[in-house]
Amino acid sequence: MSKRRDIDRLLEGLRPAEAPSALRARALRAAADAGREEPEGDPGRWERAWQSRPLRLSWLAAVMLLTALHLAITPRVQDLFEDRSPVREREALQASGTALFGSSTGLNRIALARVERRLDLESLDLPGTHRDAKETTR
Amino acid sequence: MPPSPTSEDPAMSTRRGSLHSRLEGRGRSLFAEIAGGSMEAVGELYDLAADDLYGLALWRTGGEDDAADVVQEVFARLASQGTKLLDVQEPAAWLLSVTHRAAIDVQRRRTRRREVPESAALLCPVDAGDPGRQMDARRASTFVQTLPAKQREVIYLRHFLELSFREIAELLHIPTFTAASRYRLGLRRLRKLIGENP
Repeated sequence: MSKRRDIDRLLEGLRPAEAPSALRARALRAAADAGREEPEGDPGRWERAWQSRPLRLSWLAAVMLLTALHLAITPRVQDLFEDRSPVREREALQASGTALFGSSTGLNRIALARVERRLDLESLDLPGTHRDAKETTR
Repeated sequence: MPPSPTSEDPAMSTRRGSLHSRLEGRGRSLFAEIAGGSMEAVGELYDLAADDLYGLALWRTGGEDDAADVVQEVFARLASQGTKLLDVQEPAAWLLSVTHRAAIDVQRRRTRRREVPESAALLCPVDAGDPGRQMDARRASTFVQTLPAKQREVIYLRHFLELSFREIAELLHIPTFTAASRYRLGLRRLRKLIGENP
């Protein structure tokens, strides 16, 4: 409580400072000089946008973000200039073709086995076809 | 609207009339005359407002030369507005707002130029007569100088210019809560200083 009384007394004792007497002439001279100049015109929308610090910062952030994204998604320069001679191209094509063929025959075999299982060809007693079917499944 | 006295708001009786009340009625006509180019009106407005504007600039910048620069800048800006002054609804608020911005500009300029801050000014005048009052004013000035500029500014606006927290918030473009918070933090710090230096 005594602290509160102290601060009350402290603030009670405060008087606001007064402007120095020499300042009056100085301020009025500055006003007269400024009054003789052209009144400040409206700077315009683009000028205001350029002068606004938040807008400039957001513009900078947007440019940096776009640059970063551009660098992230475009192919690397090294890839663009990689050696693509016809021999290598052919080798690469053959290798991929063999792999594709291998995978497709493998898939065909699996699919055929599934169809046989579903139809249960062994149990079918079709005249003239039983043997053939058995032979086919083998 | 003058603020109501609260436990955080001592010394209402010692306040002088606020800038708002002094410019009420006369402020807009003075602005209209200044818009028409009258230098006599600028002089009259100076006599009505300069002390308050200087005090605010002094409490914000903490230096006498900077405060004088701010007041000069405010009157230069006032005279350069031309007919735009006719649109000003609250001349007192306009002047305080321009003073606040000019004070920030002066401080920024000083920081940008890496100038040495002005030596701490006596924020409260010392009464030549009473030695006890002299001591109090010096003590108060020293304590107030240690506060951050933003807190000093709010205390000045609240204590000497009798603005409400809402008016201070509008003037400084901050939330009302922040204005009140700066005032209370400032007073709390002053109390602490008094407690440490009885």
